Amino acid sequence: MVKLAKGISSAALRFVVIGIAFPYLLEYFSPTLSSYVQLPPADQVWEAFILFGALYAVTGFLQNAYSKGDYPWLFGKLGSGVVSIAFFTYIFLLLPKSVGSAGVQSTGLLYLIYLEVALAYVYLVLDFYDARRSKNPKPKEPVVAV
Amino acid sequence: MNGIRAAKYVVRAASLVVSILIMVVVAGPILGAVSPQFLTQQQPLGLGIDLNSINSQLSFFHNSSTLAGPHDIAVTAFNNWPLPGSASLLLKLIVNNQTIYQTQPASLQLDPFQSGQLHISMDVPSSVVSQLQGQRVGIGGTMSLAEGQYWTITVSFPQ
Repeated sequence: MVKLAKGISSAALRFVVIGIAFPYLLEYFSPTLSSYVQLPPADQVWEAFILFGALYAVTGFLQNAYSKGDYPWLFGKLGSGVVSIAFFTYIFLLLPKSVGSAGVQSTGLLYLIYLEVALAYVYLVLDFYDARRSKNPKPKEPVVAV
Repeated sequence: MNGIRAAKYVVRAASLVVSILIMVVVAGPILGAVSPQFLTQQQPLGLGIDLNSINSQLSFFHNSSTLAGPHDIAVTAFNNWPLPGSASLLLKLIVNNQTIYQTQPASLQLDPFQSGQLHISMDVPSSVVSQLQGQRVGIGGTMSLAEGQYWTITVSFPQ
């Protein structure tokens, strides 16, 4: 029951932050931002952020309503990574228009980001198996006293 | 401690180090662009160029007799950040949204926590001076900031 409540509250928080607060702030600051970034129409921004908010809510629920070592928890973690990639791709798509014709060259930075993502997934898998092993410890061999 | 748990902590530590490096790399030029607007009294943070100092050096534009000939414009580039970087800047004269003159780019390598001057030579040819007569001249340019080999951000101004 506690886990379920934790999952629901995490999902609600993620949806409110990503799906409501983010687009609201973008709309609020759009007069200032529009001189640097050419934003899509407001309804498209709201649609995109509500979708990302919903996806983050689902993955947040799976991560918090289940325990580390359960498969839904692993799907939540993996899904959260995929949603983050989509979310940041969407955010970065807005960027080149903000820096004129020449834009951003980020080859070295991209390699660092790939390395970070790879390390995060290796950690996730190791953590998952560590948690499963802790949940289901090997039965001790019977000790026979002589 | 078993092998999987030890490997987990090692990977976690490496991941944290890479995350911090990414944040430091990304934050340098962003802080360099934003902090001069807010820290007007203190030294700005990050890697950037103090574009505010250009306008005060363009007084030769007010008189057509002083317009021709070489003019040296010194612009401060700062790197108040723990990674080495480089800054480059070129200036343009814009009339009716068209660039009629462009300087050679001036570049500067900056070690961590080092500042320097970009010296831009503006030698406006007499043919260009004649085009400027009676026109409203705008100043534009292109600024590049590179944080080591990790990323280069190039901004054209005015947007």
